[in-house]
Amino acid sequence: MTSALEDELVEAYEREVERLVSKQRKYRDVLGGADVAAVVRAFRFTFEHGIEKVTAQMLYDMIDDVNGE
Amino acid sequence: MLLERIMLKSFGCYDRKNFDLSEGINLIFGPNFSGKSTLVSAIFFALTGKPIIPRVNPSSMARSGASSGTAGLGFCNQDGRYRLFRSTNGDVQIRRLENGEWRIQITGKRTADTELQQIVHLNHLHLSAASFLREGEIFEFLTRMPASRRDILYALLGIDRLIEVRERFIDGRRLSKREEKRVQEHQRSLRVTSVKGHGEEIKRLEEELKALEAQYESLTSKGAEDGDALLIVELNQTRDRLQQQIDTLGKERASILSGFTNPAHLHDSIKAIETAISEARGLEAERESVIQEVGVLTSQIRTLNGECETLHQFINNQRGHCPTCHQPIQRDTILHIIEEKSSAQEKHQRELDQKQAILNKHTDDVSTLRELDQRRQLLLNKVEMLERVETQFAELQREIETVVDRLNVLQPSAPPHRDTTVESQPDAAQLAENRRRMKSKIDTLRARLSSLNAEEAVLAHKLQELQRVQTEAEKMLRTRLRFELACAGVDKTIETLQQQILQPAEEELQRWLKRMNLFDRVSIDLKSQHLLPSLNIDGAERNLMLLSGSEKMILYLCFKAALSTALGNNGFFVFDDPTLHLDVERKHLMISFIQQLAANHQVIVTSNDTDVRHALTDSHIIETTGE
Repeated sequence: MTSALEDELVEAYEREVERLVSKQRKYRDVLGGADVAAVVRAFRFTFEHGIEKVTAQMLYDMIDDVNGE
Repeated sequence: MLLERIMLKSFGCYDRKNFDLSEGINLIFGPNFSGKSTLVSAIFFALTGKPIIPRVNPSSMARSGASSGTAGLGFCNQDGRYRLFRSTNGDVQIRRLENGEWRIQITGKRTADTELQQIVHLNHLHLSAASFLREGEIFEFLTRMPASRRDILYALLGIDRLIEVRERFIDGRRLSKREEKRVQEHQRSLRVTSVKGHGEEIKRLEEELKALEAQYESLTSKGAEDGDALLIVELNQTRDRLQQQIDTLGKERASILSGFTNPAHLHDSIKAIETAISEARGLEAERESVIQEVGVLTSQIRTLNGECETLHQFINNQRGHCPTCHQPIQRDTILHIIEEKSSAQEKHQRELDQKQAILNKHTDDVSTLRELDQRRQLLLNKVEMLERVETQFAELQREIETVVDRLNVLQPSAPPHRDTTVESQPDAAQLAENRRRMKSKIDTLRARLSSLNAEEAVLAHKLQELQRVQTEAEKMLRTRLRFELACAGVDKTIETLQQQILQPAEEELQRWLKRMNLFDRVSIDLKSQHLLPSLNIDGAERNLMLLSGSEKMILYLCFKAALSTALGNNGFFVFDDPTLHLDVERKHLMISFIQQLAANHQVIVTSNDTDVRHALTDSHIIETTGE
């Protein structure tokens, strides 16, 4: 898959996540922009590096730390 | 993208051959075994590096006898004109036309494919699914297992990687749920052990205590005068107690001084004894000397006595000479010696008797001295006891004087009679009892308050911990929700992707079928069967396997055209013998399809059918003869 397609997929994912937050109350009541950014960041990281290199614990740490980069 | 030329070297049945291609329809025409499918295979291999027929080793595509073969492809796109060469042993080279010269842009092995992707924007799955038709593909596709088709669809859309990502997110969500559960259990345990706060009880007790203390204060000030009477009672009692102790001490003092008129007499006695002991201090040494003298005298007397006995034996043995030196014995001389020794013996005996008498006297004196020393020790003990008693006596005397002074201050006119004082103050005693009870109650309340405050402190700590855990639980909930959002986001993306690709593909396929007049009132579903078109014709489901061969072929090519449009058109199609086994009518339908497709695309078709050639006379025709 080309990097352009990867970018398109990540963008599509971000749109879906934002849509979910705005539509579903259980997300909307608790989560905000920083949470969405953390989720998208974790998605991009996993998508780019592959699941062989990204462990569940790494993802947990990324998602748990909203302000992490 | 427009394919311009096919260049073969030791590839398939070709030794070295180039074939120019043009826009529109390119018909590769020739008899069986003339190398038509080789050209299709060469295009696919050059673009993807993979054989078009699955499970074929690339090296087997080289010409028989050659160590390797090369398939080349000339093409142009919006970026320029290119020549792509790929050998069956994996070498790749891309040249670009720059200023009229072909310059090598990329060369290498598999790594060059990544860069090639950047130029052609193609992947083999896309090409295989949408742009190429290889021999026998239709039947293979129709008989694929649904899971296999789903894998193709997912790989085409990149969903396979999304699913992998989702799996990781699910693992992460599992972790977050575990953490959340742990925190919730901690939270629950804190709730269970926490008890109701004592705030209200503490407040109530504090008020009660305050009231009691005020009452106690009031009672203390109000009963000050009555308190004096009570104090008199207490002082009288104390005085009596002290007096009793003084009496006891007086008796003890009298007992100590028994035999003495007063303490001075006792001290004089001790002094006299000490003087006597001091004077007799050399007596023991003198006695020892006398004992030694007595011993010496006794020994001398024994010696003289033995000598006299020996001399008497000499005189009385009748031999007339000495048995040792054999000298004649002079009897008179010996008798004289015996007389002298006897005289000395008597003298020593007298001295011994005198010394013995002295010794006896000294022994008596020493015995008396020891008794005196014991007596002195006894008297000293009495003095010590007497001093202690005197000290206690003086202290008690002082105390009693103090008590009497206070009594005199409190009741100067009243006679210091204890019974009268006690009987005259019954109210004061009652008051004291009330105060004592109140004080006891205050003490109990204070203890209870202290205990409650301690419990309250523990409770406050627990509440603080509960608050901390509550914050942690909220954070955990947030983390779990983020994971759920991440997973849901992937699901939605997959759904959207499928919708974005499959829905336009369904619509495009429907348009093609309408154009081809193949089915009336048909609805198509590509999702439920994972790319396999599900046809609902006139409200009834049609099994694709039961369609005629020509229907399947045209439907399948329409499906490819539709899918290609939905995925992003490559600009060309390569169909290997699409009219195989079609009757004349269906051949013309297929030719019509190809012509319609060629209106907007480059179409490369192979055939050995003269009807097809005649129908496509206006197209670019490539004759193959198998080298």
